[in-house]
Amino acid sequence: MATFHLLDYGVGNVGSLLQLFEALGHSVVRTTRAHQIADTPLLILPGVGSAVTALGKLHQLGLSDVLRARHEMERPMLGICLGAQLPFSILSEAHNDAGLALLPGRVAPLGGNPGFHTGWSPLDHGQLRACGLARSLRSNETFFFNHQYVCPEEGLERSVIAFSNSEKRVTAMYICGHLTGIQFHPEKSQRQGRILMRNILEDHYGL
Amino acid sequence: MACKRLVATLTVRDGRVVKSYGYAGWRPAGDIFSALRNLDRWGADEILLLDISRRPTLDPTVLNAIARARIATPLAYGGGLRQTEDFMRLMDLGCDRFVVETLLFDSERRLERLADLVGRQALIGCVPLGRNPEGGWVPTLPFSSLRLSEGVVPANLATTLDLLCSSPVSEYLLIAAEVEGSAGAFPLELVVACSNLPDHSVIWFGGLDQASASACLAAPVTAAVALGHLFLEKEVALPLLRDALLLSSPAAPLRRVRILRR
Repeated sequence: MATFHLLDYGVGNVGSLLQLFEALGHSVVRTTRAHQIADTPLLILPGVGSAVTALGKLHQLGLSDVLRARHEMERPMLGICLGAQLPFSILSEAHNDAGLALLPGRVAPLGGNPGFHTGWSPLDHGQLRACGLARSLRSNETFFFNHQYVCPEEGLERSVIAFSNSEKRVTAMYICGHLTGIQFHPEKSQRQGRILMRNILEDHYGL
Repeated sequence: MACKRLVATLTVRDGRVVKSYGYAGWRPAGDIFSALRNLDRWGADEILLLDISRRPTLDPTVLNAIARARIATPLAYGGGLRQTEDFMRLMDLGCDRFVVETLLFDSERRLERLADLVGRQALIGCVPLGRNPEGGWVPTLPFSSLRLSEGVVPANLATTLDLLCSSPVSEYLLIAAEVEGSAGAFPLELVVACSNLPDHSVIWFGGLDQASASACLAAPVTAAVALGHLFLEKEVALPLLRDALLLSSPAAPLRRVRILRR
């Protein structure tokens, strides 16, 4: 089983994620050190809360450029929840400020009333299969979402959609080369969350 | 679409799970660690841990139990949340959402600052409701002993709902406070009275049983039903209730859950 790193920049549900990776038999180390971020076989970019706070912390720790450099070297990176939104160019939540700009597009408010997607939603199983990530998952499996902003659907190499409480399309997952983003919380999606994360690590990243 | 949720509530006092009766009486009902592990295994859609100890700081016994339980179920925490550090510490332990009650009424500025930090999607506004002598719904316990530094407690249901809608929170936990602990006593007229709130925005709690939970789930305004006692009294009561709700109303938008067996 592999050892890789999780960017611990003070924003997020780090404890639950570490538990998930540990349950899958991997050894994950928290880090903010530039050389570890550059060299690790897989970097986990977590995040819960506000994009403004998260971006502020990344800038404050001087890690934005380190992440861009890793991306340019096409090294594997997995963003979860807010960590899946930060790689885009424009973040509405951050008053249309630039995100990490690793991917084009704008992370926009979900809209509607209520403008939140909180709860368990099924993923488009056909798209999940097309991503090669559906092993041992049934078509009606649900995953836990809790977000107010949503990643763009256009311009992504491969994506998997779900529908929110108000039937809005939500980019639930995307794969762009070495960069994978997951909008929902696999670490809080019980058995199916564990299976999906195993599929990402083993079938997509070969860990 | 997102499924409506069956929330398992753990009421905690002095480091132990308790069965609470209208917030006026309690009796011990087990330890937090075991309850969290069981509810996680039984497939709760979310676990709501409400610490009613009214301590000045977070209870280390509760924090320790959350850390040890290592659950893979969404966890919301309420009770005694005051400092920003409290929220960050709980988040790091695996809490996904936070129930704010006093803060909701006391300081809009502090709540906005908090929402900037943890995100609005992580905040649940909580209002215990009861009847006034005229029969209207009003925020009730524990406001008789509450000291607000800035805000005021709304005088009626309409102003309470206005306050909720303008607050930086994602869902509303509305508690039928007077019947809390009395299964089957939930007043369904409260759902009608709150029907102007946005769809999928309310978590109902207090005196729910299978029939009233089913009726609540049918209301557009409902995001979740929260039950406490029922799940502590009988082994696997939670999956049995889920099955019953799915059977009683085939359109009931709950998710189907496969229970983990050890």
